[in-house]
Amino acid sequence: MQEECVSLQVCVSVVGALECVVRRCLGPDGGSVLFTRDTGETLITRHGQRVLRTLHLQHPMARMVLDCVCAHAKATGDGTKSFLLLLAALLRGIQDSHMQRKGSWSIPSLQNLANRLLAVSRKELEDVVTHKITPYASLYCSHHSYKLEGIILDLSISGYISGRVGISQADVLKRVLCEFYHKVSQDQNAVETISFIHSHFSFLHTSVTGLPIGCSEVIEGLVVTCDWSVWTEPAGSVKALILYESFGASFVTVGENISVCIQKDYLHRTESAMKQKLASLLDLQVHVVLSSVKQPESVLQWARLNHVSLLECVDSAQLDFLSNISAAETLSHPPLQHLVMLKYCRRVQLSGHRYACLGTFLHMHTLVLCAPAPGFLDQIVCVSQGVFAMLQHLSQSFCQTLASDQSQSPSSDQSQSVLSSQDLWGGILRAGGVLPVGGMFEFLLHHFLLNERNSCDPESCRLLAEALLCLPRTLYSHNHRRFLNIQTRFLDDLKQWDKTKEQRSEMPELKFGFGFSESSVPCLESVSGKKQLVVSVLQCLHRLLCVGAILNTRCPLRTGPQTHSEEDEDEEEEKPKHSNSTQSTDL
Amino acid sequence: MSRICKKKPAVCTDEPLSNSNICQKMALLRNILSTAYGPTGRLKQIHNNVGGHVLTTSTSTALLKRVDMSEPLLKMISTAVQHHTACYSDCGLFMGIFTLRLIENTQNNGLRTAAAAKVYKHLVEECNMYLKGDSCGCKVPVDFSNSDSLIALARSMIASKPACMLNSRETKHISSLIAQAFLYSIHCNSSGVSCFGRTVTIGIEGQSVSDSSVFPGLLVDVPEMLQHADLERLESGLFKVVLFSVSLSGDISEVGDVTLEIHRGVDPERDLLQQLLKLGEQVVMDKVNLFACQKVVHPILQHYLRKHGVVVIERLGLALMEPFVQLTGAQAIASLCSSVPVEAYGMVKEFCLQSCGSRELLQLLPSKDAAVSTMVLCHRNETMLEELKMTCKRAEHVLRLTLREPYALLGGGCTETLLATHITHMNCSKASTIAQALCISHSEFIMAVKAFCSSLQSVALSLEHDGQDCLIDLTYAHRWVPDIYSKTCSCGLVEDRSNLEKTPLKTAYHTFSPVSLENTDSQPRILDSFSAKLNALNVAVEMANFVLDVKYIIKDIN
Repeated sequence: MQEECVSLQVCVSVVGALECVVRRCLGPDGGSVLFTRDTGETLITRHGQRVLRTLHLQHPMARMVLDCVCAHAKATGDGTKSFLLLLAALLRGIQDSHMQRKGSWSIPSLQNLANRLLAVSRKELEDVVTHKITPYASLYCSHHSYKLEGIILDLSISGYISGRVGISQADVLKRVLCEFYHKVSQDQNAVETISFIHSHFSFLHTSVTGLPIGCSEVIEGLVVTCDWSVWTEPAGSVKALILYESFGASFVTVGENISVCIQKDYLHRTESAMKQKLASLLDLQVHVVLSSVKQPESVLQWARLNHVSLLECVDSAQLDFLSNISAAETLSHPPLQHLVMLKYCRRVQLSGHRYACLGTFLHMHTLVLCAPAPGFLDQIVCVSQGVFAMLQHLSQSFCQTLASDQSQSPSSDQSQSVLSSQDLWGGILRAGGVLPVGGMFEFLLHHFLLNERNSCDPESCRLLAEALLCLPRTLYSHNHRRFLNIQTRFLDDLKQWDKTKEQRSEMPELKFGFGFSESSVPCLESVSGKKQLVVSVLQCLHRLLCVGAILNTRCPLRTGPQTHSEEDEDEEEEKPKHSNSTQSTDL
Repeated sequence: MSRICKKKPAVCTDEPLSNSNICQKMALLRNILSTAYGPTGRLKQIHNNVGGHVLTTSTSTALLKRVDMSEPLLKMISTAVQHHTACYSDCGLFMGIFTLRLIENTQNNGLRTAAAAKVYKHLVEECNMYLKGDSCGCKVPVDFSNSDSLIALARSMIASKPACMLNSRETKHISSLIAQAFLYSIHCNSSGVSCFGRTVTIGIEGQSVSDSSVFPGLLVDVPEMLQHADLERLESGLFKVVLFSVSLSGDISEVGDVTLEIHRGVDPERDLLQQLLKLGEQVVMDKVNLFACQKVVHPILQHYLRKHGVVVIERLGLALMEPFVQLTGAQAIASLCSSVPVEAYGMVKEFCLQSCGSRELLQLLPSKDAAVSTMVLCHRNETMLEELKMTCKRAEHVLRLTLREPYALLGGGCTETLLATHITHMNCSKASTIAQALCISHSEFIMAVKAFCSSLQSVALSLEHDGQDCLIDLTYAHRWVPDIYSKTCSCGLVEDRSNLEKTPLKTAYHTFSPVSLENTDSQPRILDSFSAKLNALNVAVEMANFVLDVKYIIKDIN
């Protein structure tokens, strides 16, 4: 067993290495990372979590950081790159303050600091966000509501996208994603729509290569990526049969060692068995057959003769999805067959391929994403999926606050109100759930943390506040003067805001945020996601600083239920990192 | 227990585009592509150093499919070009050269990639607007009432594939054949949504190109057992056709690889044969004249049918099934046991023997309007024939694309020079306002516009391989080659006159708005596909932006 001492130095260098990879991808001016394997696989991404997952991390500390990042990303769907930047900045801040003191941090004092920082995240951070930042955001939004009303969804989507795809593709992708959302939602319950799209995204999109991204579009109906084997134009709504097995008797599926016994009239028998099955289909008045497997040639002939459209080799998960959403009727006699009603069936042509398109009675739309090359397409699909994860987090956190507000006021009725699209986004806007991107949250938090009067731990607050500024600094790394400009302008605005609040006079125009580009409205990001980011980083820091030593063992680690503490629920195999300083001295 | 071996650390490349090794490889690829561009492009020979097939080509599809790239960024560009040509069949080399030039120019000018990406996006949108707009000077409408523009489109496509080894007379012949085949493939009196017909291509080696021709209907190999007398015996009129997709060989092969257990007294082979003969009887009774099968027909059945005056075509192959169905209207029958339903029979108006070069083929003519035709291409050797077949297929696709967007662009590099001049002119006057709107500095904007336009001009320059100068005139912004015999510009639209001012391409000249030519009798000689070039331009810019965006490469070598 080898023991490896962990010092602050090690933490800084490990997290610094990770930061170095992701800092290039931060923000709209960042770039992407290309991964290749010898097997020929390539992956291009700007997505922080994907970058980190693809790196085969060796160092246990790095793996622990990765776990924290993933847990955070799972909760908010956003902010993995900022996570690492902030963590690295905090660690550096701690190291610097240690240099100034000229005394060494002993492990207990580090732990103490980590605990204090965690306490800050529980108390001061909470205070600042609820009492200072949220009102500010709400005020800000109400000032610009004439500009923001109705497009808040678009702005939050573009806020998310701009850090994940190249600057030139962002607008096109935003446009098509918003169109997709609006077409699917049709003024239905917004929260449900978002979670529907989020959970079924893989069925609701089709990818096409060889075309520019600008050709991406939204198509009505469900697109299936194969062409009809037999096609007859059906008129109006039709009954469709969903099949999961072949009509013909196939021996291949049974196994290898079988023998077939041939009797007299075997030809006629197999033939008539098939005929019976097919005749029963006609009795059901089925005009469309959707099959997940290849059907024998004679079924195709039957379909041609009886004007039945036949679609073979459909992904069975997609068929399940179709039968789920359109309330399929399951046939009792032959197993695994469903009947669904379809509004229409079509053929669509996407860049030289013909695909089938099924119209369901529920308004279903398919997002068609185009890109010149496969690796590129992958990136776009991934980002689009991420958008809906982010929106889901935004809408759910708003619903939670709404529910807690309702429970506090006894007069409100208990029935869960159905939020329409406008209600939801308007509500988020008024409640101060969003702020412009580009470092506004960081500036605000920095400012309020430093000026917190009744803080019990000013040192930790200062540490956190200084570290926060690293995010906007990296964002404007190509133009440092811009960063300073924005910061001074922001502080001026804030002073004016404070003054007017005291005097209760008329509010001045808050220019901040519009300073990024004078003409256009800024993109938005969620305040709760940002708060969660700071909390997650502080928790991760706590875990990092509590590690005293790493033990390399050869035997596999098993953590029984009795060793579970409340913090390492998701850490099954990472036991040695949790051995804190006291344990390591025991060994 | 799994073997424990230490993982090797991944190889990381920071800022790959400033890496000299990668830049060198990129320049090499660009050189390969640009030397192959155009009618006088140099041929590339690809062969494996252990031997085997040698391929001579200058087309991007054939070239990129076989050249293996070691650099992931180049691999991406290569796949993007291949995906583009799979959709549009043309302008692959244009896209490749333009993408690589754009990347190089951006890198050489030291532009910030985010700024460059914004400007390129803006410029390509402006190009789209200009090309799609009515005032566009480099677009001509395709006139379907007259085959000239179709033939011109096909001819420019063939002419830019020097590996076909055609002289000018042969080029003319083949391009008119392509236009003819394209016209055959459109249904005459179709209403509403309709599909294209089919053109089946047959290649014959060792024959001169002028023997190539297009036939209406379908040409199939003459069945071995068919004699001239059989055909002469047939009277004229409509012939009934039956088509089988199931094997009629009489083997029990459908079952697969299993042990068979046969009851005493049962002879499956004989049963099957009897079934086949029963089928034959029915077919004869229904007065069928042509019996076609995708697979093998049992000799006894063939003999029986022939005795009753039925012509048998076997081993049709999967590729010919769909055109055959379209031609005859017959439905492929997949079972032996049931009797043939009446709806499944099809019709053929006529069948006769055609001799094409050294081969005899049986021609089937449709009874009604079925847009099926057969193109017989002849060439001296296999490599050239392959290239010719591929080129013809692509040219036909390009012609089909004109139905969606009935325009063609001026060829010969004139579109590129015109577009570059237009873009420079449009953006120089409004540079500061646009730069502000895009949130970038004025100088960055000017530099990016320059990089974009000079990349477009380099594509026009790549058409020249003999060391001659390329000129641009300062009125119409067309491309010119100094040639004493030629009196027109490269595309043939503008005629030379003494007071037309010209300057070599890529030299400094004042910006101007290209004058569009009106009331001219001359027709452009060289045309490019509108849809293909527009898509190539868009995809190229997107690919360039995307490659410029890559800031870090991580190579896992485990």
